[in-house]
Amino acid sequence: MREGYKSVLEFLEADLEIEEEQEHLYNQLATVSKDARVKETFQHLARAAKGHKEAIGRIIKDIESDNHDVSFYCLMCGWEINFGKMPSVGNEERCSLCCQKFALVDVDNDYAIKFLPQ
Amino acid sequence: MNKDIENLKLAIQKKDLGIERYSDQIKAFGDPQINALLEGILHNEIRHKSELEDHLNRLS
Repeated sequence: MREGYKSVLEFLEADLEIEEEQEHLYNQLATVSKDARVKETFQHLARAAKGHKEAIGRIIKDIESDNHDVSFYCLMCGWEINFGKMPSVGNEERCSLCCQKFALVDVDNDYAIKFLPQ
Repeated sequence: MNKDIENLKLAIQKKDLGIERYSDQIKAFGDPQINALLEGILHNEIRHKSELEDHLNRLS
């Protein structure tokens, strides 16, 4: 498991299971629908759940294979701060918009950022 | 047709749960890339719920 993403991976893996269940449910509901337009909608929802599942699966795979940029929203201005792939805890980055400096920290196996003095 | 109405209500409940789950995660996560994905899924869930409600209104 990728360090720094413990909680995120737990949530995403739960999402993956839920989308799998949704795909199955909507396929079942489409099968028993009497109204043609309702049937079409349930078929569409099943395809969407499959798409969600695949997109979530790709993110999980990227995280687990260290192919995911570690990034955060700046705590000052909301701009994106990117620590890159496979950063070390303690690495420092400056927000390119407001210039506030942050360090990458690990809190119970979840990455976070903390303010550094200017 | 009554069964369709029951199933639409069930699907709307599922969409409500999905909307709540993804909204909470977007607030909890601080990763812009992951949030962009979850916001896309949330947008779909909201749109799907609206489609289901339209069918429910039509059949009720």
